[in-house]
Amino acid sequence: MNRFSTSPRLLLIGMLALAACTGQEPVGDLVIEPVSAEELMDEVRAIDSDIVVVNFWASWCLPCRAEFPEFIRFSEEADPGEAQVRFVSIDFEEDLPHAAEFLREHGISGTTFVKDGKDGPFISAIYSEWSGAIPATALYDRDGDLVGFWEGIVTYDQLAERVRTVRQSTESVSTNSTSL
Amino acid sequence: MTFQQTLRRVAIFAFAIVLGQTVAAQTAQPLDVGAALPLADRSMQNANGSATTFGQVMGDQGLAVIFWSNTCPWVAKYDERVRDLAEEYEAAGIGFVIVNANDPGAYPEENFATMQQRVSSNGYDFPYVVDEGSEAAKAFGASRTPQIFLFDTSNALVYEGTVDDSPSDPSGVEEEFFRDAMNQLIAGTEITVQKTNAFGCTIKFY
Repeated sequence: MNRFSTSPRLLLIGMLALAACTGQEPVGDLVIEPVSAEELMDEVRAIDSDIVVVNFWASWCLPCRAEFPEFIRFSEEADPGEAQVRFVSIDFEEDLPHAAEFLREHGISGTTFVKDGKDGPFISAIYSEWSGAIPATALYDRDGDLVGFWEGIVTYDQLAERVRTVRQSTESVSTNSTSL
Repeated sequence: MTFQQTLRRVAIFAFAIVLGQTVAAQTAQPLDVGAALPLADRSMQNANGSATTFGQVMGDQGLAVIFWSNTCPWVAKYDERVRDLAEEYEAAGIGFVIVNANDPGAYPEENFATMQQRVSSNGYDFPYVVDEGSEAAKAFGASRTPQIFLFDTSNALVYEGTVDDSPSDPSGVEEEFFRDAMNQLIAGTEITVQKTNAFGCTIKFY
């Protein structure tokens, strides 16, 4: 299916071994699943939430690392029915162990994602105006339509405000559509 | 920064209507193809100790301005490929300059001394200049490293984007966008792919 198809399993095994060696407790199962833009959109549309926040990051990207806790805080504090967060790593294959370690340090478990396939088509499929710079964040409504996008770092307050603004505007669109 | 440049960078959270949906977008917008080379006569400090301008680097066939970094992994992936292309195409008349627009105050490894080390260790035989205040990056609408802006000898942009379609693995390259654009520029034929997207590190603006 893709060139990273065996990496998640190896990654999980490696993380458990690392935890055992250092005496740390594993933070649940962590799987980094390769996704194309189309597969990512399938994931987004399957989420039962008004807004889905997708943050594109990489483990060596200092601004990405700096804003990561802001997204985790937002995810923890948001009503899941109103907003949920997903992360998509842009790390190179050889850097995935670093990405996994970073995710583990921030308490991420379960399935998270890494970009699969060629850069250009992936970027264009996500948002045609995206330059490709990271960090970058996309907001999707309940139908999986893109309703917000930005490049660069945000704080918790900025993120919360942008989600609130977009959520209100999509509610307005929905209300207007219903009344027509 | 001029008002137009400010608009180009979309520094505010702007709204655009797309297919009936409101998309709140904040992205950098690079120069359009055909746009004039900005800041052609601005003097910039070269890591070799001299000073130079884009105009001075312009070759008989064109000029490649590439936004660069001392630390960005994507730059590291492309370092050898860009050096090889520079060696090949400088001989064909295209001037090369790499530009560091990152703020070393916030990111110390982007400082001048490290640029000098890179020139020495990596063997750059083309200018590696400091973009004080990120003024060139702002004027070009550059947002990431590496990001290429290729101009013809009339100072018009003919290509903007990336080197090729396989940053992590040179053996996986299927499309050499930059090489193709330079070949077409030199041949005087249409640039078939004028813009490409690619992942890269954000420029850490001053």
